[in-house]
Amino acid sequence: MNRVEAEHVEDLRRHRTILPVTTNPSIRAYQPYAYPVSIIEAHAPKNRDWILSNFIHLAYDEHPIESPSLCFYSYDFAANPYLHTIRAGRKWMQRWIGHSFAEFAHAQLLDGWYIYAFVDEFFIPRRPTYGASPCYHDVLIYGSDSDAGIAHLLGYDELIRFETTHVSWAELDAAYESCANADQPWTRSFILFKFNAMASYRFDPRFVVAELELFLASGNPGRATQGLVMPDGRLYGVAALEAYRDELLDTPPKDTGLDLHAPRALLEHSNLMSERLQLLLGDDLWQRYISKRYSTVLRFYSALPVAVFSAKQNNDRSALHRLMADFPEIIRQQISTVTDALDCRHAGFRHAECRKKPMGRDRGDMTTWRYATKEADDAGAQGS
Amino acid sequence: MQARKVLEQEFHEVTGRELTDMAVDVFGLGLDSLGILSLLGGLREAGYNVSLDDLLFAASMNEFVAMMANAE
Repeated sequence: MNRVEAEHVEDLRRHRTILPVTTNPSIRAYQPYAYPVSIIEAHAPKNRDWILSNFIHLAYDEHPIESPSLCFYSYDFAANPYLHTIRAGRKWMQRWIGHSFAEFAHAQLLDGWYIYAFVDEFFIPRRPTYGASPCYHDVLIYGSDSDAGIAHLLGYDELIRFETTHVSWAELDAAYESCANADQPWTRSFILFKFNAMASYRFDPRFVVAELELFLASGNPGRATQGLVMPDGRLYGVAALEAYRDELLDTPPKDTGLDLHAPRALLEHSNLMSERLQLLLGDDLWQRYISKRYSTVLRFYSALPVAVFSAKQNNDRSALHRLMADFPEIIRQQISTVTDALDCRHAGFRHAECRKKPMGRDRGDMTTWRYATKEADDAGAQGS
Repeated sequence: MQARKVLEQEFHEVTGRELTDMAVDVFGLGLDSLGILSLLGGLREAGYNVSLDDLLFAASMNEFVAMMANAE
């Protein structure tokens, strides 16, 4: 490229900047978790070491105020080895923002920084409350076009899909300014992210096994960072799963306030668990002993979000009722499958060791979920 | 055969894609919750009295087509 062409490209770049994001990240049940993952998976989709070392823990809040009862546990959703992070309060940021938030965002995007901030979605097209009522919600701004005067946003659309949309700079400024009136302290959060191409992170099996054991024991993962902040008093791991199951079982028949995010989080949790166990065991052991048994768990958690969505949207609870009857057994299968996988790994990767060892501490009590295949049973029996 | 054609048409209507793999279950079709419910709604409008249960718990789309044929 000659100098003139290079300047032309640079000139174009200065008017329109779109930083990479994916609308299908491994985690999108909750926006704060989804945004960093969307950025790093857009930049390095094949690098799974960090994501498979995280999102192991679930937390259940027995007395939720504004947040959903069940979500992933994370010490800090914004802390990520692949992201440079600048975090500040909204008020402090105002001195740098000046008269136009959209122009400020444009300048940061040109420098490679994504903007995470809260806005009033009354002003954001393709949002459920657009033009109707105030709604203070977080967004990720990943692109901007100064000639067209538009900014590109990522977040849940009017159908609760994790999608991109664009907004005029005027609307974005209004949305940001309107949010200044919000009382909720979490709306003051303001974060800049930039992909760190020089970062490295390695999947450490010993660390992940210890985390999985903590998950099975319903241990509080916050204890690991007690030197920084006191752990909270939520339920964790298997206990969180059981509490969520009980919450769903106790939901009144015509309650339309069903949360769509928790079942989605459980699907993502089970998908990542499947990938994680496969990485821990290697393909051969995974296929031989665990894969088909875990497929019944995956199938259940694939069906759950659809059933909850149907119950909420159409007031049709037939599929949800059927799943609820199976939920206790599915949790038992989750526990036994993860336990078996860890037993298999502790046995030292030797097939002979695994074959001699009983597959699962509670396998004798386990009845196979009725959608499990015969082959899955056969595979399990081989290991006994 | 008719049931399969209707399923293929409704799938195309919802996704804009061709339904090529009948060996997968509904979760292998790449649909989100809304897509699955839209597909089901289209099939019902076409005269097939199938339930969400049928769609979610069929082991494959081939199995689901057999359910559709029985529910015509």
